[in-house]
Amino acid sequence: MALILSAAGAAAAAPPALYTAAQSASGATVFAQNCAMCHGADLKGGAGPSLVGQSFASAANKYTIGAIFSEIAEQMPAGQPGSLTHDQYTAALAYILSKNGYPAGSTALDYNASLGSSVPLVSQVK
Amino acid sequence: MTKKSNFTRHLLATAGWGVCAGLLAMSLPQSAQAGQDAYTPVTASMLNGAQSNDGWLMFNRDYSGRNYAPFTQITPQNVSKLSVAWTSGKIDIPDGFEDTPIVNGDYMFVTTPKDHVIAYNAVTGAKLWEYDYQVPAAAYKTVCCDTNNRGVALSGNLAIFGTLDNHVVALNAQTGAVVWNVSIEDPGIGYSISEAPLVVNGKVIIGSGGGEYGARGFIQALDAQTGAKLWKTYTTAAPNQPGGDTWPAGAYKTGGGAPWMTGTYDPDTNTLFWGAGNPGPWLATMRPGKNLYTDSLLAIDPDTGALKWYYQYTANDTWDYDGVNTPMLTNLTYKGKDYKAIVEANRNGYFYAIDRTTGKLIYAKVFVHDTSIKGIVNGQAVGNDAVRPALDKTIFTCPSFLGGKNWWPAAVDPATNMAYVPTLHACMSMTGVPVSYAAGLPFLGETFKMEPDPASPGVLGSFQAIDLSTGKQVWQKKTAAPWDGGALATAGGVVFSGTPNGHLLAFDGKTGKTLWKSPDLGSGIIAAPISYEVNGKQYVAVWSGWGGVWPIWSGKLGAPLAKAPRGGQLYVFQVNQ
Ligand code: HEC
Repeated sequence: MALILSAAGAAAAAPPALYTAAQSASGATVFAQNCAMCHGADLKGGAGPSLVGQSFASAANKYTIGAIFSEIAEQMPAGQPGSLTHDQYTAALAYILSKNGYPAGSTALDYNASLGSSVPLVSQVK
Repeated sequence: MTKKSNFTRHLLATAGWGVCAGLLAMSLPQSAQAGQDAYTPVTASMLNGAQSNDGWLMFNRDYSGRNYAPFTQITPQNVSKLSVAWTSGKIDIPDGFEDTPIVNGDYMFVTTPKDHVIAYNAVTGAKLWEYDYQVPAAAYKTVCCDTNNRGVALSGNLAIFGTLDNHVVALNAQTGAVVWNVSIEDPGIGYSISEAPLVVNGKVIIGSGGGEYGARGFIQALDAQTGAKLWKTYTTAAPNQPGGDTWPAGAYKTGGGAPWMTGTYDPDTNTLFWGAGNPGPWLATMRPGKNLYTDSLLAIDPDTGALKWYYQYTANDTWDYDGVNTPMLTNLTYKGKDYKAIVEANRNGYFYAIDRTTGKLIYAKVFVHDTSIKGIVNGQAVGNDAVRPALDKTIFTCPSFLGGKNWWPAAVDPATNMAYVPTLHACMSMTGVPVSYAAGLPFLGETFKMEPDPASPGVLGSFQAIDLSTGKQVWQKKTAAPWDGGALATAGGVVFSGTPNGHLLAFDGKTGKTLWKSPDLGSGIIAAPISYEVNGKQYVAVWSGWGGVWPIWSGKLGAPLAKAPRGGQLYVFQVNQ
């Protein structure tokens, strides 16, 4: 019983691997070219809000991948919504996840699946 | 902006004088600096008579909201001799400077983006003190349209302002020391404050922002002396309130209606006038009904917060046509009849005249290319159903989501009988998308893109004069750049407004002739100019400091100004004799 509990606790603490290293690497470029002018090269905000840390996505916010990705894919870049390719949008999300303490893995983020994803998004950056 | 204020340094330096400093403090007003007059506390009767005060005592100068100064020294004949009396020096914040400076005697109070407050000597520009409010990171999460602060309100010995994290803070006007600091909402869940408060009969009145985040709008009254909360009036009607049946079940809770621009006040009837913003989410198919009191003019009893009447400009809005532009009180004659009116150049593209004693429409005339509103029937704008977006339905319509006019204060000159209206000529495409509410995230349900207006090729902005007796345009100055700054009218017959290229312009109020163009002030102007007199001399002041909503949301139309220089600088002009 105790074992199961601590295993569950550990599972909650470790964020899932949702994207590939290749996605976040290309996401860094997408972000620098299309997002950094408003959200800051360090993601800490400017004309747009911070995309890193507890002021972006705390546990109390109860955000999901779907809610955040919908905002990105449907509204961003502000003023030119939908102007990037699906791959560029998923890469940008991968990059943002990587900066918020989510590990890379072997499965790539999928555009349509991410739009509807109910996986929690909680920044691991304090 | 992390420097200690001059005044703090001054205090530290004099502290060493021991007994001497103590004696000084007893015989002089606390902040008296060389050449600075004793501070005149701002009474209710001063505010009631602000239209004839030499200073500029509140956001729109006086309770009428006309941005009209009664000074006559600067005229069409001598305005070309305007030169810089003093400037603040460059303030290195790369966000939009939307502040209206407030002047009482020879004290001037300004705010900058990110909620800093500075006091200057209004004649010399000597800095008296600076107060650097610390905005917590969580607040920036729900700031759609830059980190604006539009200014302070004065009461007694206090300078009072709102913050992006929804505090209202009162500073000692002579020292910048905090007297009270009250939180009226949490940061990060949708609300923010950018407007200047209004002080009426000893109460501080201030409204919330957050219409893009489903925040339920409210107007809050506080005791000016203590900050104690007195009343709070929500701008969306709950089921048990009149108008509650204009929402689907529960939708009023995330229904927006942010009253995010400073209102006006009629002392004759003791009525506050405040505009309410767009409904949330933007996609109207998610909230069938009129959605009262979004996009409405609210007439409120300042003693109790009770709603006396309302006039809704745009029912069941789906285009982001906030009803927050300043309700300006003016008397006018229309079709031979005299009215005590309110005039307002609305985001929906119509210039409204409303009887301020009854809330009934006098007239509404279109002032910009408009395909969203088909016309006025029975005193109400009729929306064009063909251009309402729905899930997977894309529409094209005008004006854009920034409106025919955005927040920039317009002005009214009773002598020319005209309103001076900064105007935006742009259209938009919009598509409905699914959205569900999550506190702190945008709550829109539409994607939207600014597009050029096919009816005005090559023209994004104009500055136009509207005859109050007809609602018709008298003159118009068109520009390739958007018109993105506020207006000032003066009794000398000169009207002022700034451009995104950083020039302050002076027009002949009657004819629209350009009389003067300032040198490049270093960055674009989005703020409203003011005018004041000290020791019998007239000054004109305005902030440069590009930013605000246009660079963030204009998309491709914003490209020519994407690299425009940033940073704020206050300029004060005088006429050289
Ligand atoms: C022109 C400025 C601008 C650009 C460019 C821009 N954003 Fe934004 N972004 C904003 C603003 C402003 C908001 C606030 C949301 C609102 O009011 O709709 C925002 C909101 C967001 C949010 C929601 C965050 C939250 O906590 O609410 C995310 C995520 C986001 N942007 C990601 C991106 C990504 C990824 C890009 C590049 C593909 C991008 N943005 C490009 C201005 C910009």
